[in-house]
Amino acid sequence: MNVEVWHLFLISVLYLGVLFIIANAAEKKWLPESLVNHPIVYTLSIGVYATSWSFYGSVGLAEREGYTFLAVYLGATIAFLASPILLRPILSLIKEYQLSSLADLMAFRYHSPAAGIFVTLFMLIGALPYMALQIQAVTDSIQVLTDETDSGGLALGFCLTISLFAILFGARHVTPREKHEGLVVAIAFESLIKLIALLSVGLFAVFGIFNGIDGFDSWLENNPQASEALMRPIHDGPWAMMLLLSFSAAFLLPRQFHMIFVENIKSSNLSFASWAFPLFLLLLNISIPPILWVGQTLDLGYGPDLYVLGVSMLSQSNLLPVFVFIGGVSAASAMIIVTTTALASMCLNHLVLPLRIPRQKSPSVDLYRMLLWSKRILIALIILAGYAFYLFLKTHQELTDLGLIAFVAVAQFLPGIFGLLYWRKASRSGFILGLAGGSSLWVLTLILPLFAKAGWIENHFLNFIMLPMSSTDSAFWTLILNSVLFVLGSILWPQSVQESKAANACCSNQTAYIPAIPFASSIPQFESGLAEIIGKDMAHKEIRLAMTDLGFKDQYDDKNMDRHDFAKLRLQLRHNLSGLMGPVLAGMVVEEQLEVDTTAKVAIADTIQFVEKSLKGSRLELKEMASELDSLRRFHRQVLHDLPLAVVTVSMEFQILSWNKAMEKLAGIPKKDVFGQGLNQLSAPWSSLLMEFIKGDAAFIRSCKVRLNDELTILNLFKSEVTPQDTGRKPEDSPSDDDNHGYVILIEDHSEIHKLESELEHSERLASIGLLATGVAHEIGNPVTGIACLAQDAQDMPDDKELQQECASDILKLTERISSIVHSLVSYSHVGAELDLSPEKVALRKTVSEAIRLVSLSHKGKQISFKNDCGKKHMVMGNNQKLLQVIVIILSNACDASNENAQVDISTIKLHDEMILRIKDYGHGIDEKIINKIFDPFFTTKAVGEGTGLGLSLAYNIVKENGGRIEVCNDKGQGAEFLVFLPRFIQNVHN
Amino acid sequence: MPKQLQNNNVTERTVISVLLVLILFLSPMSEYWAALDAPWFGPYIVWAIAIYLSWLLQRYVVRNTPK
Repeated sequence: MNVEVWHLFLISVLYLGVLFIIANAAEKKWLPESLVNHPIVYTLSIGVYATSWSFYGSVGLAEREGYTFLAVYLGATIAFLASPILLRPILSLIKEYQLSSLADLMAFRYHSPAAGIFVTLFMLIGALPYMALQIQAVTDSIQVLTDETDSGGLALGFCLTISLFAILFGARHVTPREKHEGLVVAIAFESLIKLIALLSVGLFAVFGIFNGIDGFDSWLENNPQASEALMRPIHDGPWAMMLLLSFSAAFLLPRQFHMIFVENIKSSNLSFASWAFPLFLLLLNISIPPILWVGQTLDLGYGPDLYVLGVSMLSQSNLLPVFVFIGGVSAASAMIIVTTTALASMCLNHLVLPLRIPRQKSPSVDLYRMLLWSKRILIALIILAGYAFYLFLKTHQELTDLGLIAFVAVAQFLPGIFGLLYWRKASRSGFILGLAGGSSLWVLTLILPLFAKAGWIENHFLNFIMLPMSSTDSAFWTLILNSVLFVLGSILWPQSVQESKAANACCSNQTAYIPAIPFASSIPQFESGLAEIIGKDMAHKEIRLAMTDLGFKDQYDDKNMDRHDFAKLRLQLRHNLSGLMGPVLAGMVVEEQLEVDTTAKVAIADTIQFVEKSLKGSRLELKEMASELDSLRRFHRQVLHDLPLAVVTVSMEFQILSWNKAMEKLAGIPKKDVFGQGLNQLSAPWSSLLMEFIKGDAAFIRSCKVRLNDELTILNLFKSEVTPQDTGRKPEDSPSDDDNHGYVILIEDHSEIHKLESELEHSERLASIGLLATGVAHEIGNPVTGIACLAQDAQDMPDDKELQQECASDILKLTERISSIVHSLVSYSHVGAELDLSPEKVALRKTVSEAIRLVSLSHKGKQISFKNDCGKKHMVMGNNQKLLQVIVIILSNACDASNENAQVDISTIKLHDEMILRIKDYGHGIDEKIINKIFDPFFTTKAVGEGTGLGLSLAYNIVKENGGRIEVCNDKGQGAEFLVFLPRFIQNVHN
Repeated sequence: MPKQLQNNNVTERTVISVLLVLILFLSPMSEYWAALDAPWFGPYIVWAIAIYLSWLLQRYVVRNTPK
């Protein structure tokens, strides 16, 4: 090959520069968003799984282990096949709690900073052999192409270059919470280059070396041992363990975890990748057998790990080998860039920040800047650590061996992941114990022998304790030990309460945190609290960001925010900070700087949302009784929602907990606008109406008049206090039973019924007037006759001035009498403004006199002697017209029941807050059999045409509506006595 | 169809699919596709079947996931 080292260096830098331009174009939105967010781009970015090991090492592994090399990808296929129950739940957790690495996830689930530190350290150590593998592959490829012998210098040059680009790709943002869209697109592009490069070599092998498909087939026919050599290890080799290792590596390796979960922009892309990613792997590996067979046949003079490059060099031009070299650089650089970005984030959250942040207590600190530079330094340090590991090994290792060491390392997280998703009782102690056991055995069986092989261990003790074995054997024993310790530790040392909450959040999709009310009750207080730790500028930005996330419109005005809003803001800050500094540290910062007011009650609306969300999205489906209960609960909730009566439920803090369909219709306000809000935030008239009703003593308000949409509406309101006893729970069941207190308010729109009742009353009055008609005619007829006579006298004697004066005076008196009768009738029949009959002061004596006058117009009434003994100062609250109607009805009935010349006594008795109007007749009384029915509508003992049966029923309803009641006492043979209880008018008290 | 039932169905189908693929890869069935005289591309065919299963499953998941 006619290629110099500097040529390859220049090509590499140019290639990485192109990648940088692509990444920049994606971040600057120069590339269409549909392309950047396309599932194919996401799938190709997950292709970072295929590193130099796949690109170069697969051929070597195929030569040694046959088709066992495919297990490295078939395990990944199984992991993605199981994505609905494996990857998708993890993705949900990552997105919901803004987690940025496996260490964050484990620290969150096991609620332990130690778990995060342990995972980070182990990931870091486990990744170093893998990074050494990439460095070794690139330097080997350069050596093959250029015959350069100084591998150390080449490796250092590669590491320094890749450090620069890793920082440019992975640590350009001020806030690590944002997605690295540029990184995703760049890695996807690299995967495409790898795929095309390998396919090109495969095609060259088939068509360039074997002279086409036919030549390839005939070569296989002549060399059946080639195919057999690939097949045999499937039966004899570590096939199953390789499947398990690649299954775990497919989503637990730092780079995989980062690209699958942390950089995922659209959840739906994961569904696409579930089949497209295995297809990508298949296409990537389809070329391996032909390349291997060409390498074996032609004896290229390189180890099988470099057959890919060697076969490409058989072509007549430099183009294919250089393209393959770029493919190799793609594989190595993608792995190193993504791995270091992910590891730097883990180290930052779990190793660096916990040491630095508690010492910082200055609002002037610029945490964004500190995070950014710490991450950049960490990326460089990790790459240099990988380089150091490469140097320590000295003698070259098989690429596969180094890769498998990393695979066995990440497989140690499988028990923890199982606990995270499916075993609620798995505890922090079990996880740490299992990981410690598994990782220790991993060091003894794989790492120490690796160092010994490189000649770095000569200590007898270390030689004595190390247990050299194959990677697959090590995987088996480390996982067995890890799992046993995990289970034992979880059983022996149960979870804490906090850990249990986190476990429920992971296993059942419950929300881990309910908003807790902080002491801080203004934005400045929030800012000053957080500024002590994260700096003033960052606190300001994070609070505004959290308010935007919560949908608060005015980010600079907290006047409209209540304590529950601040509780939500505090929780949102915790989530957002988790994306910056990990869940444990974010929790510590928020808990410490925004302390919770433990005396304040958590909003029940939040609790309801919490429970609803938990049940709605439960991943572990409800079974049998629980499912039945849930169905029953939903049914009851729907009944309440569809009830034709308006229902509002409020907490003791007057926060609205339910607002049913009828209430939505009545108030014209949708539920979503009021749920969780305070009653005082409702629009008029509901705010004052409901607040005053709840605070008042009355359990119901009848005929409350409110103006809705410029129409007078009559409402009946009922309320009931909900107490823990009503919920059927014993006080000892929960210390927070007080939280279950609240009020339920029923609101009945009585406008239509009220209108009908008024019409009925009017009809009844007209009917009464009809009955009085004869008496009225007589009463008016007599004065008219008198007037006629007097007028005649005056006409006959025109000169007698004195007589004319007397006649005129008498005529006036008679007309006054007629006017009085007509006025009484008109006023009796007058309905008035139907809905606007407000209670007023009524002098009972006067009303009774009016009623007597009306009744006396009737034929029967003339024969009865009425005695009005009502107190002159006895006043009641009510409507005069309606009370007049009541008294007329009762007096008319008394007349009907009395004999000729009988007496009816009317008097009043004053009680503390009531007035009794007593109407006593001395007639035949009421039959005991019917006394309970006399107030029923249409019940009458009179002959047809003499009574409607509505009188007493209406009287009863009118008095009831007036806040009173009617009682009747019967004294058979001695008459009946009606007692009308009415609310007394008391000066200065209007209710 | 209730969401709960859909989730159950997705879980069931996923488990069944994974079991099918495991049977394909790990059971004595591998004696057929990885026989010494089997075509060299046999393992790739089995792999393609697993991918097809995954495609079918994901199509079902996407169709039954509430928007």
